[in-house]
Amino acid sequence: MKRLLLNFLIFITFITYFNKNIFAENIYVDLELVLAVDVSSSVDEEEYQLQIRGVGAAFRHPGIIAAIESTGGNGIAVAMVQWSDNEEQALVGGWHIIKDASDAAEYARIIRRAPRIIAGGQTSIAGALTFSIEQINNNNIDSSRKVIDVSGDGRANNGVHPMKIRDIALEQNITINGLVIINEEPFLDGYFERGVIGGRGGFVMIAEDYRDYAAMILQKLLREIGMPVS
Amino acid sequence: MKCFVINIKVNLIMDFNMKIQILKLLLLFNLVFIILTNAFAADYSYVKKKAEILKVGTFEEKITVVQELGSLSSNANFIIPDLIYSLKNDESHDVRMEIIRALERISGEANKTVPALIEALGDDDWQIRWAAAGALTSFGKKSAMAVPELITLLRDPNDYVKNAAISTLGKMGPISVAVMMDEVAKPLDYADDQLYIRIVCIRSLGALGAKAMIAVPMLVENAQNDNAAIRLESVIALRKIGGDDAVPGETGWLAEPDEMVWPKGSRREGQFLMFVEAKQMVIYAIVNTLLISIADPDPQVSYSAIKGLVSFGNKALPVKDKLVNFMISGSPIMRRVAIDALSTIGEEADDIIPDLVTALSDFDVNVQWAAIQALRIKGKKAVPELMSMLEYDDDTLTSNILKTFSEMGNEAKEAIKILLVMLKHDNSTYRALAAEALGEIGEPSLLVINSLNNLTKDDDNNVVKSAEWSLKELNRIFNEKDKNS
Repeated sequence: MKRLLLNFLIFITFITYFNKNIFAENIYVDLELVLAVDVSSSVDEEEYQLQIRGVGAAFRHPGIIAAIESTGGNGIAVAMVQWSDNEEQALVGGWHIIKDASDAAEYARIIRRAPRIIAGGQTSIAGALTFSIEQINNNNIDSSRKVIDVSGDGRANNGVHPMKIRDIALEQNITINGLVIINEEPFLDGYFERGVIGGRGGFVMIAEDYRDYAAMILQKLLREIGMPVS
Repeated sequence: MKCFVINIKVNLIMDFNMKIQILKLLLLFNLVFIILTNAFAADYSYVKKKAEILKVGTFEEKITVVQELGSLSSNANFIIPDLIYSLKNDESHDVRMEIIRALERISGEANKTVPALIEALGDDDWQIRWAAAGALTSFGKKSAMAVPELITLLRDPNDYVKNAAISTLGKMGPISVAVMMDEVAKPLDYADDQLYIRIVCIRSLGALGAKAMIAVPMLVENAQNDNAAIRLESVIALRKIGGDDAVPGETGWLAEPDEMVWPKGSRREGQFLMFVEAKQMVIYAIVNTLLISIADPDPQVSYSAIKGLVSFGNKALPVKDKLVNFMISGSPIMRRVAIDALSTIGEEADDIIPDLVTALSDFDVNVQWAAIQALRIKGKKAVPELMSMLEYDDDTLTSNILKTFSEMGNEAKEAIKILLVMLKHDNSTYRALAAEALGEIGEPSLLVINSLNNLTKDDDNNVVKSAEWSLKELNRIFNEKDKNS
């Protein structure tokens, strides 16, 4: 019995040491949003800049701020994930709780300065989804809506088929929305509709190229955060 | 003699040691072989057992097994015949759909899978036809034999099936170009839906990018068609074939000779043209068509032509004035794309900087953003004009000028003095944006740091956060400079 108790204590100490937040109280927000940005080899530096600057600009838009402020003080939690092949994903700057204009401006600054952590690689949408699901599950944040916002300019050519991970996300009530950049693959939206997006209100938006990215991500965020597109 | 004997002895010892080493190595190989063989044997028997369920399992079991087999990717190659058997014989729609998805994921044994999928293209169930058409995409060139059936599917009564077929054709590569060109060449009264077929084939040719170079003359001709929809699709296809994304570097062309449809050389008036020159001719034909199509009476065609010019940099110079006119168009999308095209022209279009600054006060936020980015590309040449426009103190214009300085970063350092003045403005948004711009410019002078420090006591939280962020940024830059010096 003593041995059992000792083992139990060692186990608890071990868990506590490796997960300091296990007993921490979760923060509640209206929406947990992962912005999964494609940084595979098909995305050059200028295109990467157009993406992050576009996201940064969107978080300064009065419509986005109004949508966030209308969440009744809970705000939203946002994280950016960069992804390419099955082994290459990175959380950029951690999770951020945005409740008002100053939080949004702060986040815009962080995103605009976000370095490209992954230089390139193949395209594993499944890898991006798996990593994003893990980030949502381990962020000590609770919400009524969880969304992965995956953008990309190509089909998966690495890792398992995204359908498989999509189904796992749906089981956990995580919605997956897509923003496809069709500069290289004009029919990519169909692929996303068939194998990537899903969940409550899941949708795909199309940007003709990276120059349209800012306009489309703005519309997408307005829709995701809950305000009608102006 | 003694020496000779010693040598022999040494050699014998070395041989003995070597033999031991070789024996060890053989044992190791043997061990690895046994482990691997057992592992594969286990995998094989495990997967084979799963295949049995495909024949005798319940509906739920079959679905689970097929999903599992699909997730094994190429490790499930040897099970493909079993999957194909079930695709042909299972009575459940859901199981058959799941099998097609699994075949798509496994993507192996093309000689067996592609014919099975082709057979599925003729299925009575539209969802099976749709899924099979989509699954063929995974086989690329290996699905060449499906081209005639996919062309037939373009006339399918179901739109999903049609779209899947055209999407797959667009992914196949040069093998489908000739067939699609045939369809484009057919007169519109050839069949009831020939207009639709022509449009989707043109779209698909565009999807092939540089691989459809041979279709350029046909597309140039179609860009002048009486039908606006055909003109639109032709312009889009041309810009995709000739655009930066579609045309790989010359070495890329040479590295993939089997992907080439456009010949490496062509003859004109007895003179041999190298493929580089031929490529230049193609690009010239495409740009020329885009320049003409800007004036198209249909706004969508006109928009697409301008969008196309974005990929060709200063080749849009002949229509610079027209593009400036589009900047005051009634359509925000036209204004935005005109700014995009002008921003790529380079130095020859520096005289449009005042127009770009004016566009910062456009009522459409996306046009404003396009102007900010165009000015960012112009860099320090645009700073004096931006500074002079600050005196107008218009909410939108001033905010966007300050955002532009942030986007420019150090290129905007000439604006530091005026930004220090803006830190004391009554408008808190201006103060916050000016503080942020100073952080982005990254010149940690005492004056800048003191001014930002004063702002950390501001009444507005946004201003305080902005100033704090910039101070942190300047501190980092200062420390880096200090370390380097």
